[in-house]
Amino acid sequence: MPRQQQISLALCFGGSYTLTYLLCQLLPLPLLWYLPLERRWVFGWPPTEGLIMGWYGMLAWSLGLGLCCTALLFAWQRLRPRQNAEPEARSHMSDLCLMAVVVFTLFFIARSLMVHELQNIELERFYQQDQLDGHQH
Amino acid sequence: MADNIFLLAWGKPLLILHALLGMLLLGTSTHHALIAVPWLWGSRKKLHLNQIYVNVGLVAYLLTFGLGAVIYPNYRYTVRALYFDKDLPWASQLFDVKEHWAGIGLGLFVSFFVLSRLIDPRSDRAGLFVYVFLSVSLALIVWFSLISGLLLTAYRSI
Repeated sequence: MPRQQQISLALCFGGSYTLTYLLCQLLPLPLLWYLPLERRWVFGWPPTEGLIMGWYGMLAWSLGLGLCCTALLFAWQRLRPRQNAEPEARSHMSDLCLMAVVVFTLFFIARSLMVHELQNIELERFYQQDQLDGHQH
Repeated sequence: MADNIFLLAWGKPLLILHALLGMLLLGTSTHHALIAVPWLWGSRKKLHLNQIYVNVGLVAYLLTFGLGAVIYPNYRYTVRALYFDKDLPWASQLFDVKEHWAGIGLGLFVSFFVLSRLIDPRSDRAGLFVYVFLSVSLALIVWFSLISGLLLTAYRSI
């Protein structure tokens, strides 16, 4: 495989991974949720009560879709008529796209998370009060 | 209930290991960014260190990230739910930014590692810019993650 096509695959993975991560922040996608106090996993929309963690699910989405997009690009590279060299303009465009996606995603996540209001999880109501007290003391 | 948390008793040693690996990662990523930026204006110094820093950085990133993911449930309950969310909401928000930046950095580091094997800074002017961009971005992510992690640990640790 030509080196430029391999570079395109690497850039495609980085861009699609980052973009998926951003979409997980923006869209209410079903995720793999971890409930640390119950030590179990749930797939779907966020459970309404209890202590939940969606970060692992976001990583799984990003890795999965990043790999899928890279595989699709790989298949397209294999199927399309062979070219001797990637046009330089397209190469610059993919570089710029990756850089723009990364900068925007990092900025958006920092800005949105620093101003969003935290959900007040009523653990005491959901879990047993005496066990919570026992841990705090 | 808290006894259900994964590796609860190993929290502190794993946290220290997580921090030490983070410092190794900070060193490699910073050194790489410092040698890579001058390549943009034609310098070809220390090219032989390129792959070493990237390889060590990838291993350090994966280990640091993996350890962080393992101790995260412990933090989520014993630090965040019981303390930060109630008394220091800004700390919870800061950790949210750190965790998501580090998560994005994982995918970027994989791309960065593959590019390091494909791009020759001596001849690839076209791909060099995005390669240096990734190096600097990852160094910034690691700096932010380490400083915010140490700051939050100073307030309350697992």
